[in-house]
Amino acid sequence: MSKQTKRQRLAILLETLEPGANVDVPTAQLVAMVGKYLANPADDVVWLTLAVLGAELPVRDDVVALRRRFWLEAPVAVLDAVASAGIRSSIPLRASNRVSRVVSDTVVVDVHHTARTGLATGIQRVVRKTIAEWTKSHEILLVGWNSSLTSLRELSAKEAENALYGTAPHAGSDAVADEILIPWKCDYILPELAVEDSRTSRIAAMAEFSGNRSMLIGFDCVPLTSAETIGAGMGAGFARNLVAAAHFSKIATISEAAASEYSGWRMMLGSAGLTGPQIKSVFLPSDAGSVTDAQLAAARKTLATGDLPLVLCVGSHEPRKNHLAVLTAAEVLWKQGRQFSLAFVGGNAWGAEEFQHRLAVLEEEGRPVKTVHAITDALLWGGYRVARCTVFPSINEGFGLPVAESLAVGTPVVTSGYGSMAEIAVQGGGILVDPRDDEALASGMASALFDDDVNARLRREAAGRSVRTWSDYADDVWDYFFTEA
Amino acid sequence: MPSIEPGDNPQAETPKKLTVTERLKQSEAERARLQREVDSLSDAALSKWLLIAHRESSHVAMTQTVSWRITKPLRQVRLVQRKVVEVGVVQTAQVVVSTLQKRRKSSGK
Amino acid sequence: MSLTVEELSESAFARLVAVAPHILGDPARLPDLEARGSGALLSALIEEIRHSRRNDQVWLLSVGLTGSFPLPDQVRSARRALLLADGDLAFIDFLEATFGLATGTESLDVTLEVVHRGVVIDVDFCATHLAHTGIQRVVRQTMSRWHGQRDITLVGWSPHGRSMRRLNALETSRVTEWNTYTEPDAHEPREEPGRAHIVVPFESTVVLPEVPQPNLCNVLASLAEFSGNKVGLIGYDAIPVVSAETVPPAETERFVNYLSIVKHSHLVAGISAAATDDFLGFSHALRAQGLPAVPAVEVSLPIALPDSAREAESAGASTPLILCVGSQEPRKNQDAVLFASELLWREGLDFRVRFIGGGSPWFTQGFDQRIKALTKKGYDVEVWRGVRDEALLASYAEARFSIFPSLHEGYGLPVAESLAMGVPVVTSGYGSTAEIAVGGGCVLIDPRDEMTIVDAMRSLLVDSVRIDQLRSEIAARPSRSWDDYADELWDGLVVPLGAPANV
Repeated sequence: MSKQTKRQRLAILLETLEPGANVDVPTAQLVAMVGKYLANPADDVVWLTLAVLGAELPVRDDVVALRRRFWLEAPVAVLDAVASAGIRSSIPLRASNRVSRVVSDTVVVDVHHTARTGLATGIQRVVRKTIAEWTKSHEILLVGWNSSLTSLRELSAKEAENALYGTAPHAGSDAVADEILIPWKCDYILPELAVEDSRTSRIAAMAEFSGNRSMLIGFDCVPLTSAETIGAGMGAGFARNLVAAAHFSKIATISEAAASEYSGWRMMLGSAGLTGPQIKSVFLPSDAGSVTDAQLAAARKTLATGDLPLVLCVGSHEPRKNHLAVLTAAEVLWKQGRQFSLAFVGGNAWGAEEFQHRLAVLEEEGRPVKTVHAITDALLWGGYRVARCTVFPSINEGFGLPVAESLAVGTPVVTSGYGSMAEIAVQGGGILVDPRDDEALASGMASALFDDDVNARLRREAAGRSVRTWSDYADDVWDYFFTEA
Repeated sequence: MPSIEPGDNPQAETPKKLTVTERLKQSEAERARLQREVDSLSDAALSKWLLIAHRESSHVAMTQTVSWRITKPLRQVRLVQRKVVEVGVVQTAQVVVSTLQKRRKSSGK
Repeated sequence: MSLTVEELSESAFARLVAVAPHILGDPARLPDLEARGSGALLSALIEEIRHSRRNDQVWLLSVGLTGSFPLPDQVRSARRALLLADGDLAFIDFLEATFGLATGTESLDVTLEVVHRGVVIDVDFCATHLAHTGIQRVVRQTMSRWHGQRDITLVGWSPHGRSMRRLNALETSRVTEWNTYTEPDAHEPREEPGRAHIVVPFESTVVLPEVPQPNLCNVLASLAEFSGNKVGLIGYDAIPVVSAETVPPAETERFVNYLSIVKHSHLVAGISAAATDDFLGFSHALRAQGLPAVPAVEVSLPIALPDSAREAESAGASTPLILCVGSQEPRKNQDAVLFASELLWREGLDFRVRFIGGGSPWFTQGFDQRIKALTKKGYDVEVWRGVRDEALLASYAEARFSIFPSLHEGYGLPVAESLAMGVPVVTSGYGSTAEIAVGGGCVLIDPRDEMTIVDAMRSLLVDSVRIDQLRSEIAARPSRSWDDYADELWDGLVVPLGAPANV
């Protein structure tokens, strides 16, 4: 690090601690002036000192170690050492002469992953829709992280575009500015899931020490509560995300069910002497999409079989979605001589060997079942409209967009009678079953498919549901974060 | 030759009861014989299954492929049985032939 | 090892006969079915469960047929096969559905016994390992008291982790006679395994007093969810989740998989109120996936001496000794003790600090360097590792007080130990250690606020009146022993799950 960089960073630190201070003084004097703030420093000042002088966000151990040094040694000497060497003096001096910028009194929204992905699954959709609404009526600063995930920075124009609209999925490979951002007296919102250890450890330290007020959107705690349904490797990253969340002030969960998962986790924090954040459910909205007549006809052709009434099942083939139960229930009905077709839309398969096997057996036996992996909006929204009913017997969901979407379109849904799915169905339009009971599922499907009275009633109920938009949702989250106590 | 009906027999009174009992005994014996046949078939199926499972024990990579191979003939039988009920024998034969033809084509990959 | 078809059939037949009485609605049918052979017997059992639709019987029959405990997907597969089977093909469909289980890594030549309406206790780790920290101490203390006194069956797992088995004599000693048995030389001839014999609990109570190894989580989750047995656990803590940053990622992975057993269990006995709350919290989350809450009750660990201790007179020491016992890792917060000590030495106070305990090199390497830096400055601080019990007891006798400012504990055995040895202890003012402190003899601090540690240490170093007062509090503490714990655990965990009460 050059002398100039050291001086620059000290100046920034001083200006932040003492707005309006005269920084046009010799470096040694800068050190003395900053040093005044470091006699018995509060944690937030220690954190800020590390962040500015090291030009990266510190982890907990860094803050605690420096805090102790300030007690044991003369603050000015410690300050000078840190200013010269950066955060970890046992590691060779950083070659970097990065510039850091302290941002204050700003709403900082961390969309690092959303900005660089082409994925459009549940979480990304929620993030994009929400921040797109926020940018319409609020001043927010979209940020991401540097490549080593040690500091925050502003997003490039392309990254911001991708974060908001998903229209530039390779934005992450663009060159980005060297300037790093350090939030101070800000509100920090994490609307997406962060699981990389480098990131979560720094977010945790920031939430615990920096004085910035932190909030997040909570989707679910499945890696904790249904670990057997997901692959190895997710549990630790998610738990460390929760470690950070333990120091946040608020979590807006996407359903009451998700709120109960986070609340259960919060009850466990007492053993570690932590209180945890406020938790409140802010229910997701329901899209109905739209299709042209041509798209509708194409969807029918792709998904349905002949004139048979169609049961549509939307979602990836992973254990938690319970698609084997759908196949079993369908087979029970086909064996009874019932006439209908089944289509799966949505594709990613994980842990689905037995599902693929049973699907192949059914196809070989000539059962009218189709699977479509490459899903377009037209196919999805057309499919919902073409279907006589949809089915979604998931074992554990944070929300269950396919349930809300089906009902928004007006198509009855057969879904699980507990958790977030039951919450969505409370206004009507759904048949609720125990998803762990194949026969109950079959019976529910039969009712929706073949009982005209039931189907008509469900459609009436669905049509009568109140509409909730993304604008409603984004406003409610904002109000919870900023207006409510 | 006159047909012999139970009722025709001049010794109808006592032989009628014996005949019913005999018929019951015969039915029972027949049932027991069929039962033994079914039992020995199940025994054979179980033994075969045990032997194959034992041999496959150390080298099963994709279980369902082995299971598939073993039970394919059984599934075929089941499919044929159902088809026969649905559409009759002749049409079933046609379905079977066309399925086999399809499979021969697709297995050439 | 290659088996003949006769050996396989005979083996399967014996297993089916063993499980049949628990599946047949009318047990009087059994002799006739046995006479007809395994095919007939299996057919009849399959028909029975096709109609009963009982998960526990599907589970049991899968075990009987294959000699392996089925995983959750395998139970569902078998169940679905029976649901979809056309009557006469149920036999074949069941065989197809269980084929994967049969080709698993266990031999098909196992013999089987059903433990019906009994108490089966999984002590696999203690039976097969020589480690003796926290969990193992609890298990060995408890099992040594239950063994021979109560009707229990101690089990371990087969080498491939797919079936339970009884323990051999050596394993039983490792679990029930830890303080007195001798671990044989590695060179002594080992018993030849021979034909494996598996133990199958049915309509029984299964107790998991350990945290099972990762490869056992799936098969135990299946047992908890489907086998019909009532599963009870000792709940230690949720540290790998709540304080995930203090453990290696693999430990968090292992713990969340352990939670998939917990969520289908029937009762948890927490080792402290804090640990009990941990499991109640997890239970609260289960409603989102339509599962009932798992009840959790507190059965606190005792205040007990180190395993081979006798109480000692406190020795008059020249320079006061501060003792810090426990494994060395970030969560135990030993660096805070170093910091507080250095600050107090600089104030001019005269005292010694001794750390006793081991740890992983990734931490202890740095820790030892920090100790060295302090000794170079002339301060009296040392680390003892791999000490014999006598050295530990002598240290307690010598210590003015002990300190244990852990960031997160399930119980805090070093705190209890110190109190049992009559030595006042400085410890964390929340969670399980605060519970122990209620009985007296402790000074509470905030482990995240070093100044509270400094103040407490300073006070106890200079204020002899306070030390004496703490010692009197300790003497007046109600005592609770391992005998008490073993009895209370039986009454609190095992009896409610259906076992006979304390006699």
